[in-house]
Amino acid sequence: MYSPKFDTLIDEFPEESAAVSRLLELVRDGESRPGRKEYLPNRLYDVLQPSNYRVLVQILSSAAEKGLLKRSFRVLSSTGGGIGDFDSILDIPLEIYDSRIGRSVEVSQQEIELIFVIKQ
Amino acid sequence: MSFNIVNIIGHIRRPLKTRPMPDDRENQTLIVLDLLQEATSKEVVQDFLRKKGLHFSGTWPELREKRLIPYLNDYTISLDELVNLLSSAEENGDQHIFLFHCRPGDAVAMMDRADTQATLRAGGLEHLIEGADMGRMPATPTIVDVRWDSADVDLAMVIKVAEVRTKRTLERERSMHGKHVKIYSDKQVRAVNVAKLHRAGFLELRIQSRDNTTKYDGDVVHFMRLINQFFPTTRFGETSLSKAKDTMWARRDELRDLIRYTDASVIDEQGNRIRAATGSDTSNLSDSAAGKSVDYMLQEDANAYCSDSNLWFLKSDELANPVHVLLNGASNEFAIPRKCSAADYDYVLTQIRHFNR
Repeated sequence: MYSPKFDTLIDEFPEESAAVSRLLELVRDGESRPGRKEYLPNRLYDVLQPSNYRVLVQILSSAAEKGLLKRSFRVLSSTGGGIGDFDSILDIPLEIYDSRIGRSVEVSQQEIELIFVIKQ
Repeated sequence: MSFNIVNIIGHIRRPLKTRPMPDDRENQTLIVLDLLQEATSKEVVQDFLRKKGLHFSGTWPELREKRLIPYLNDYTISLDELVNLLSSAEENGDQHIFLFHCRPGDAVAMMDRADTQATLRAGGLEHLIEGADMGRMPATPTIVDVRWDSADVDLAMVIKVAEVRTKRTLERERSMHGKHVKIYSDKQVRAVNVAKLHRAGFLELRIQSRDNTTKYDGDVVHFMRLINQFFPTTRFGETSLSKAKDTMWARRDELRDLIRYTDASVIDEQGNRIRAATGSDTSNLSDSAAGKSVDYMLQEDANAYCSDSNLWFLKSDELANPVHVLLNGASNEFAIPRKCSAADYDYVLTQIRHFNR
């Protein structure tokens, strides 16, 4: 669904209008198909093709603040899959139960990744 | 003459200005050999000896005692040559490399020698105009070398930064008063980061690997801030290596004499992941069913992509030794975990850029 918030995003980043348009396409396409859609920043850098990574971070932060995307911090198991998603990095506990290996583990910074989710 | 390590490695790519007395020469030889062992791999030193037509076999102690010291004593090789090898060695491999691009015209302007020398003078770094000044352990990250690779024109400009890091090693664990305590020992070690801007409009930032992290965002920001007066951050965009990851993986069977894959990961747009890994780290995912399972996910989901690769460039006529490469981390990042020669580093960089086109 088109949101007028995208217009304000283009107004905010006029020199990155192509990248913002690609974000709009991605959101539209994601919402049109069933299932949760989520992306790592690296993937969004390839898909949106902004001028640089700094601008990408600014666009995604603004899009998340406007509610166009949801930003989430994921703790990964040593086996590779996620074991907890958090809205803020401050919410992540020092220790977490890893359901993939059946015991609690210490959380290290290396096992946290930032993801962006298209709201359904 | 008093011994000073800065004298030893302070004037790279030019002969040492003073010929040391025998006792000093012996001391300096031992220090250079120690630094060489810290800074590089045995293969790099063996490659150096092989190219000179000298005996090169043996373990590190054997290389040192039975090869290098006798060759230095009978002047088959010079201390200056080892000093230059040391300089080259600490700039290649054991690094996370970040690629950026800019307009070629901007690159040529940023490489201008007169402008660079003016910037060096303005920043109190005019001594670097005369040559490298590689302080062994600078108190803060310090630019120690600014130089150009040239043919008829300047092809690339190199800025080298030395810094001191703390290497932390777990010594023991103990329980006391209901608490569990881990005790680490800290050691100060020298690290070298290199920025190389190419005339064609691309920049390599090589950050020396850390022992305790796989994330280098902070290192890249600090490094770029330090060299911003020469290479302004705003002129560059990150060069994604996704094309290289996709292309090399898709062509892995055809490239089996060039590349050996040990791990490959793909992610789809729902965040699901498949990782293929060889049983032995000397095997190859080419022609394997595990590799084909990754292909299946890529074929079935147009939005799935190669996220991480762990591969080896194989020894060939153009590559003196196999080079291990990690293609993961930031979108513009790859890592060469072990030291390698400058020629082998250049070969790997050229290959990755070739497959990224």
